[in-house]
Amino acid sequence: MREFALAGLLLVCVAYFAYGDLRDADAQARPWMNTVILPNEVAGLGWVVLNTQERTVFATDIFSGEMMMGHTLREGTVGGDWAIIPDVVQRMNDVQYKIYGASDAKQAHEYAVKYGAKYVWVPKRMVFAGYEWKWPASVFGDTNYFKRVFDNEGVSVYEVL
Amino acid sequence: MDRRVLLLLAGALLLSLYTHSMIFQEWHMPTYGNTMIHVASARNLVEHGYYPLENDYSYGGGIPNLYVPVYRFTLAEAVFLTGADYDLISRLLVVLFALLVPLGFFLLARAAFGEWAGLAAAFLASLVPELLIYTVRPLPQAMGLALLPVAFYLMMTGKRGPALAAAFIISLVHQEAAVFLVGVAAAFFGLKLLEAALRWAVDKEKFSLDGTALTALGCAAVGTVTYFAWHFFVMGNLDILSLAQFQHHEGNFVDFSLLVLKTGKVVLALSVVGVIACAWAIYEKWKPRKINAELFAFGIALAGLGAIKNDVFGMRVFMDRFIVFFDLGLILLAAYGLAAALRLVVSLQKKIEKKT
Repeated sequence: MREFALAGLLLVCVAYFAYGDLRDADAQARPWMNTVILPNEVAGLGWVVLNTQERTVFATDIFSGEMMMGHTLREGTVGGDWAIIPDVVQRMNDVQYKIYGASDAKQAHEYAVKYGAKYVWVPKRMVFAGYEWKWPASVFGDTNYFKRVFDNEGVSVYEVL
Repeated sequence: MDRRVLLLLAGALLLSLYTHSMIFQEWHMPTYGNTMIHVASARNLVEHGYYPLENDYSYGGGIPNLYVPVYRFTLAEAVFLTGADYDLISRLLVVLFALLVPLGFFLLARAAFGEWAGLAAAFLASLVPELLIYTVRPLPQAMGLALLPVAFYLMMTGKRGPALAAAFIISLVHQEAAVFLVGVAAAFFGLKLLEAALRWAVDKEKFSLDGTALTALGCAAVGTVTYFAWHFFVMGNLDILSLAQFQHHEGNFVDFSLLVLKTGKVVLALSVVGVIACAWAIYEKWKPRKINAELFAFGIALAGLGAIKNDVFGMRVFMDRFIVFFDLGLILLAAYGLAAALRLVVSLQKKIEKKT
């Protein structure tokens, strides 16, 4: 056994630093487990399934859009594989700043229509449509352009009039 | 197999399961990394009986579904067969990847450098932050990363049929994994060419390539043809440079501090030892001609290095996203480095004891 003493010492040294790396790996990976979407957003999908057809387009951020397609086979204005989407950067910019960051209801309405959205999904969390995390603008209450059709603690859904 | 080895391998598997257990920490499977787009295609397949090839769900739909489909088929198949929820099956796939990663590395490093190096690789695979980040989420990339070490084992050992099959499958699992597999195969073939050229020019031998080199060349060809065939099948053209990832140069510059952060200090340090040990082994084993494993390890590292520094060649696509693939090569080198360092200190101690 004595002949392995140095090797043992080397292994102990490696194990010491390996433990540090293991903790680093855990710390770096754990934030990726964040779901972003809220439990009540998923609960709100029950309304979506009951009241809309498959492939209906919702104005969404990336995370809601992907939740929507994965859970209900509906579509979001952004979210998914961007590889072959025409004018994809413009689309993300518009959804981020002209719908969720709209200056008024008219602008939000105009861009929701431009991208074929029948509804706007307004989660009660910050949204990300490709550029930055921001709270949705408070413009969807204008009944000239939108009609609230669903609301719970996670999301409000507005029909685009 | 030695019982101690089996026991330690079980330990490496448990460690990997432990690090991946965070997949069960939240009420919903992770959503970062576009995980749900794969669920959508799988769900469409299960609920409607066909794959939505002509109409993807992404960005408002109405466009072809270009993403390679094998991961989605796997998810759909598992849901269809078990009746379980997509969320649960997705998380269980992560558990499967958690087992496959150390097993694949054990297989590869054991065939390359012996049993103890195999064990070292199985353990070291759990220390790399970037590898955990990309295998702890239910993604095609996780599946690709779990399969690559097995494909490398088949390629390195010249098991031609299975190696070509692996190249075909991986090319339809994940695009970047396919690019990396082709890169590794090409790099290994290039190194084998160099070896043959040196033997011809310096040692005055007949110029010849062995079966493993030709297997690697075949894998590079199969991987390339498979992806382009898929692209043509879906898009009707071969213009991959028009994809948004190329047009908008998705990806960030990789510097040394980012590499250390994403690879971990132990694997990076031991991989340097591994490079030296590999170079020495090639020098020592040149005459008996048993240098395929060392050349293969260098091949993975070279392909990885080329991928993370593709900005140097003017590509500027996914440089940081390729760190995790480069790490596959570093893990293999690190395992060899650790095994070689242990051998060295044992022989050193024997010499010291003889003198005293």
